Amino acid sequence: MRLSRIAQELSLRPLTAGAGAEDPDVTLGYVSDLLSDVLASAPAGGILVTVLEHMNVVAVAMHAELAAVVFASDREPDKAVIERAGQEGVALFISPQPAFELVGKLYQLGIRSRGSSS
Amino acid sequence: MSILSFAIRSGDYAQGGSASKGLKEQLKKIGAAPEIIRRVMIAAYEAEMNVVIHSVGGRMTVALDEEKADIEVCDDGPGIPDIEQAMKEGFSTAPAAARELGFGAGLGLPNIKKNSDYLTIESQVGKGTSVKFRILLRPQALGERMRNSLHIAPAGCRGCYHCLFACPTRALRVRGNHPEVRSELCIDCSACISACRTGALTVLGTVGQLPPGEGRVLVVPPALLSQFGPVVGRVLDSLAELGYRDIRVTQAWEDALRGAVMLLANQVSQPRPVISPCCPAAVNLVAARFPSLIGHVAPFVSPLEAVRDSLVGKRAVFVACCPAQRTALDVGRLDRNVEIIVPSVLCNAVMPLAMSQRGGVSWRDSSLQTGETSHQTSSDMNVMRVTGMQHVVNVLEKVEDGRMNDVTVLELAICDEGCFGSPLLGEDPFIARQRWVDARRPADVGAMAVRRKMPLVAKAGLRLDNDMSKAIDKLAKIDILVKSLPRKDCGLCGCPTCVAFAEDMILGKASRADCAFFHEGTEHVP
Repeated sequence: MRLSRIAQELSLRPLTAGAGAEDPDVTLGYVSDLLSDVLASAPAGGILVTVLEHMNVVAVAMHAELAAVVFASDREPDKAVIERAGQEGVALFISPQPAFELVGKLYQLGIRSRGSSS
Repeated sequence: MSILSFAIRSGDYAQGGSASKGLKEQLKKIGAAPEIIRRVMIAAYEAEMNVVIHSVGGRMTVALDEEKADIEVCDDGPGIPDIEQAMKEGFSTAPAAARELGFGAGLGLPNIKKNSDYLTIESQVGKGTSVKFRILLRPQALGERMRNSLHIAPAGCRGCYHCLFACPTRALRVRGNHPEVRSELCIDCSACISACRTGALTVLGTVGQLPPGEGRVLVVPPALLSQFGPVVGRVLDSLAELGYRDIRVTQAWEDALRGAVMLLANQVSQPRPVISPCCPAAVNLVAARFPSLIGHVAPFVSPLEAVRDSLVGKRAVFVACCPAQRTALDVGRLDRNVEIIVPSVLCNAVMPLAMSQRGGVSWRDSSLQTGETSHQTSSDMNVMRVTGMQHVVNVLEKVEDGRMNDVTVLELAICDEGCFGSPLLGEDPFIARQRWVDARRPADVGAMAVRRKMPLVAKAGLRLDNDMSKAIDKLAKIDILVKSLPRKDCGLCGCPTCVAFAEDMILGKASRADCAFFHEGTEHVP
């Protein structure tokens, strides 16, 4: 499913302006607030749901080659974080909903974790 | 080779990841595969963040060539008191500031290990830590030109040609009492060493000193312990007297591998029989002569490599019983933490001690067990054990023909009775193995099977020419040439077969006059 479509379905607010330009197809996702865990297990090209909103999330997203990061529970990152994400080509979104709700909705849309059989 | 260096500042979370990002750009430029880049990035980022979180500052140095990235991340303190503990998932000493940012879950070092091909850690409390790891950029290159650990001492050769015919891949040539190995064909087994009567063929590093025990772990195969009579416990006692920090017997890792292979064999999707990679030379044989069976080989490393994996951060001395074991240990050696000796070096040191002691078995009595252990739990499974080169080749041919599908697990060992039959050991393999089976021996010490990081690939073997059309021309010439040879496969020319002789002639490595049946002036030999 196109990232823009996911954002629309979940009423996500985009933080990075250029995110719509590429609009990748996203089928995989992950949720975690431990960065090493994200690195180890988040699927390349996937969408990450997290409550961490600092600069290192962007670095990890870039290294793990994630397509997008969704900040749950209205955790708003600094301007510098958003700017950096824009440079690195990582799309950022924010939502007032808690991670649990967001992941549930992503699952309903057919997004799965890597290696999921169902 | 290009060397890159990046400074890493302590506590600078906002800039964390900038060193590894610089590396990523370089890797893209040299055209590394995306999956490989991802592995490098994850390992490098974790190592970099460890310096940011834990240390007073440090640097990352990367040595890049077309095959590998060697990365060293070192800092100036405070050092890791217990590396083994630090390697455990979930163990962390990260400060609250780091934890609040989502670090400090105790996954950093394990993540590095998972994503790198080789890893070593050295640390001194108060001085600093050095984390070195290697990631192969072209893993397939390893299979293309495998290294060998066969050592040739031409002075000992008397030109008996026994080795020529022993080699299962026809990798040897003997020219005027001078054996040569074609490393593109050699599978690092022990067949030629067994056949050699004069000691001209042996394993690299035969001439070696026993490294001192201080601070080192000694890793020994069961076969070494049963060389001195029915006194296995006493031999262990004697080894302990050499002053090593710890002694690990590889049996536990062999058992762990067997368990893991059996679990795997339970999966329906696995082609049967599942071949256990317990003998690295047997795995090489599959890769060289039976590439269609590569999918049958369980994706684990050999027991000896698994032991090395469990000793990250420690100095260790390994006893290698064949060239393949030595190569497996050697290929990933990043520093001097791993030292490799041949059995005789240790046997010579331990013999006087083992022979002088009196009395019964004492070695850590409480932890000694009797007899076969893990084998028995698996008796309900269909495991077939095949040892000895000729039998292994026969069985693999049957597997290739699809006539072994009723066997679930196949354990292959090139030497008779496995490492008990190593030509580097003196005792008869059947006697040595029985002694070990009967002996009380150390209990398992949390040994685990380790998955392969790179898939097993076919060994390319002999290439007539890099240009395929030229190679085809050569093939045709060889065919014609072979018809003019006696086809006695006598070996007198120094090649194991007339076909090999024809190949060598076309490759310019032999001349027609080398053939004993060739007479000047005749086109065809009788």
